Amino acid sequence: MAVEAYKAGLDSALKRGLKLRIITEINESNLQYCRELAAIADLRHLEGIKCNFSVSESEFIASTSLKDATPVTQVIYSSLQAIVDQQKFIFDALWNKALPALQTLKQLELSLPAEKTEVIYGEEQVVNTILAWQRNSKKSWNLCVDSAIPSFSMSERIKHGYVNAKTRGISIRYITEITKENLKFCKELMKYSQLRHLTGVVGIFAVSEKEYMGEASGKDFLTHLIYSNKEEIVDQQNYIFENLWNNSVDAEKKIKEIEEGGVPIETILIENDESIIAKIKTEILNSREILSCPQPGRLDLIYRTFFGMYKDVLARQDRGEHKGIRMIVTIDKSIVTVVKKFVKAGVQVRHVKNILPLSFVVTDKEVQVNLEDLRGRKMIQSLLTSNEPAYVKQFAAVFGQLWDDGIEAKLRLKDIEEGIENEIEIIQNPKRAHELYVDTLINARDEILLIFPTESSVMRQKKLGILDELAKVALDKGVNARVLMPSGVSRAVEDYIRKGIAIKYIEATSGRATVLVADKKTLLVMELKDDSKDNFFDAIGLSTYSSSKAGVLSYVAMFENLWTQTDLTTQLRVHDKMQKEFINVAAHELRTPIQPILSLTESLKADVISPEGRELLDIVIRNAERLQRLAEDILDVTRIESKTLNLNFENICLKSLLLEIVNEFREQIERKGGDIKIILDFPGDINIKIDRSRISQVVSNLVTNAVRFTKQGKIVLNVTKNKKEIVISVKDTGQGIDPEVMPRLFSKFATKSITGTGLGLFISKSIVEAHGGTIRGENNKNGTGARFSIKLPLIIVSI
Amino acid sequence: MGNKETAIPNASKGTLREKGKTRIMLVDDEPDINAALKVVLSRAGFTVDTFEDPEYALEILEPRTYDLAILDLKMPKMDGFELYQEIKKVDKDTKVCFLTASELFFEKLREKKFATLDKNLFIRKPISNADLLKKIYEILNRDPSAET
Repeated sequence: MAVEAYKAGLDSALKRGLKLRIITEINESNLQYCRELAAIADLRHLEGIKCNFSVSESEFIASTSLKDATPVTQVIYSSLQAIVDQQKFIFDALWNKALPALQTLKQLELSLPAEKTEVIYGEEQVVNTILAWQRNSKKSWNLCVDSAIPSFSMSERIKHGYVNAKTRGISIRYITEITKENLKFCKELMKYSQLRHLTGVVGIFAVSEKEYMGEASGKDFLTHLIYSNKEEIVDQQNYIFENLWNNSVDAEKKIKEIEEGGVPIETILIENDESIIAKIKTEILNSREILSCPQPGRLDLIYRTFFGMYKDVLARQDRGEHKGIRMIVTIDKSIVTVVKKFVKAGVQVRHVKNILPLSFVVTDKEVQVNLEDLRGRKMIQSLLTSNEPAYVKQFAAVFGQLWDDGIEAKLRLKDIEEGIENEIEIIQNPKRAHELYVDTLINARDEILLIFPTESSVMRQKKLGILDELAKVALDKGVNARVLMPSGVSRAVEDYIRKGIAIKYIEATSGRATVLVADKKTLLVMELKDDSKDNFFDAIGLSTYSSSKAGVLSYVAMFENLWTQTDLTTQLRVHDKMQKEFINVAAHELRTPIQPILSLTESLKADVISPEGRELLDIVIRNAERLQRLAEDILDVTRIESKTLNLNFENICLKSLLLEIVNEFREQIERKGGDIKIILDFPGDINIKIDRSRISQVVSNLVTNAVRFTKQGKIVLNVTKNKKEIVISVKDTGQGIDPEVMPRLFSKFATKSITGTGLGLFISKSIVEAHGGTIRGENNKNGTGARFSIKLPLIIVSI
Repeated sequence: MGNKETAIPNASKGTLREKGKTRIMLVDDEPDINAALKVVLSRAGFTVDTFEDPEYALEILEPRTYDLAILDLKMPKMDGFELYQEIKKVDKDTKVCFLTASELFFEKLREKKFATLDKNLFIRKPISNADLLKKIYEILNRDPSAET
């Protein structure tokens, strides 16, 4: 560039439209000129150019390198087309290898070293590169090398770099496979670096914050080496290193293992049954702590094969030599016995709800996982064992979590024994409840008990097809189906009775839920939320599904109770009905013949002239009347005794009732010609709610008695009232009550008289007591006659 | 006395009334009841036709024949109430009352359709001659518009 003439020539050439391509080694010294050149020509950079040549389309010129800008004295020239072409070809090849100038210029400007990736050949070069790499790094070294390298690293020349690096404060991380052979060097390395062990490292790579060196095979490593200072490559290799670093093991541990003759870290799959057992036994012996997680199906086998050894371990625990055995298993009825054996021996056992998908055992050193695989048609068992600390740690952690969530075996065993083993499921979704409903019905084997709470529930479920399902199960499987429901819907379910479902009707249900019990084992209670709804899903609320023995059996008991109750109530009702019918018929049959007897005897009296004849007729009439009264009284007693005495309460005014009676008796006395006065002592009036005809009957009875036992004198009917009750008394001046009869006064056939039936007072008492009142009879204090009084409560009328 | 009917149904219409004798129709499935009551009533001055079979009674019933019908409530073929309704169809002016020996009396009274009937129209068997006649006079002397 300095030569004027040369430059001038260039300028004119360019003006002529010349295409100029220049390749040179751009460096700090020619930077300035290169910049100028770059402006006028297509400039590219190629390292290590040792010659000069130029070729045009027709001519070729070459010289040796310029030194100190001294013009050369010798040039090679050729215009031979063959040579020109060849040199052009060479130029093009170099052109393609060269880097665009701009990049290089930039790098130089930023004082960045040129980015390169290359293979270094030759021992000398390799070593130099390594040493340079050591020097160039200012921050960190990351090395991952195979087991052969540590000795190299600690060789004289290379070791120097380490020492130096340490003083410079460079952080060195070194991964290698520590073996017995390189143990010495590794220990040495640990003075300068953090050392970690990784099994099976093959090859070498070392990466600093700037440069990367790599080698495929450790054997020939000193012969060639891959080098790169390209940023992306360096970053990537650092990243790879980090991963390896995290996966590698602390050197100390490994060294210790080697020095103590420890077992190599390995993960193996054992498929031979005998080997499996042997391995497990070995591990039990070697362990300091055993955490076991078997599947319930294997527990029996484990017991038979290893229990003896477990006992030894537990003995060691007692001596303080072992941390003991902890076991997690899903305890169900089938393994209760064997679990108890483990617990008794001293194994700590806990229960988890969900059965684990695999069995594993973790000790302080190793983890063993039991795998079962169906290959072909055979179940192959294999044991995966690993003493890889990472795996051991992980499984121990898993065990720990399960342990924390587990339930003490003792509690779980107790639950199973008490039959509370299964949970009660609360179902909120009516569709799910329906599913379970049908499911339970379909799967019943022996017996189905079903209670419907309301008539609407029967209709809803009939619509849904539940009754059809039930019928199907009853017919096809011979399941004994019994149903309780309210009586109102009997019509609608008539058909189903024919289909083999036994249905009984109850008046009121206990609760508002549909209850289903199947085989005395499963219980489904569906609460009725809204009986007004049209369909099942809208009507039901929460449902409970349970196989808890206590729960199921209590519902069974309730069902059986109601079932037999219906029998009783039906029987009672039938009996009741029969009684009523009997009384009706008896009444009719008794009264009918009496009518002609009475009427005709009376009529006959007119026909009979002779006084004797008339007297005879009188006797007949008297007895006919007595018979009539007896018939009525017996009917009353029958009603009273069978508790079918029905009272017809209505508000009546007492005075008119009593007046009626008084007048009737007065007439009677007049007719018969007696000397008795009947007086009604009742000022005012009282309204009272009573059975008019029955109370009338009672008062009449009392007055009749009074008349019967009073030859002459008076009978006073008196009424008094207080806040609670009224008192009606009939007082006579007759012969009074026979003291002998007194105690039995109100019992059946206590008194005997010509005209009396002996039942009047018994019936009166029953009627009065049916009103909630009382009756009593006593002799008058003044000596003559008796007084019978009845107290009737004033019933407060409620709406 | 005592079988089927004793009435002569072909009497001319209305003539008996004009004669001043009250004509009573008595229907009861018990022949002795019929006989006994007929004696009582006829001696009291009434003309009594008795029927054991209510269906037959209806067959031959013509309007304006009877002033009063006394009907037994509980009969096998047709009960007293039904008969009462049929009679009223034939002649609404005929007064009707009921004889009953059964407990049905109370139950029927409680039935809504018969609640409008005065319970005094019910005569309970057995009844003395005097009481029977008293009742009959009461019923016959009643204001016809008080009945349904």
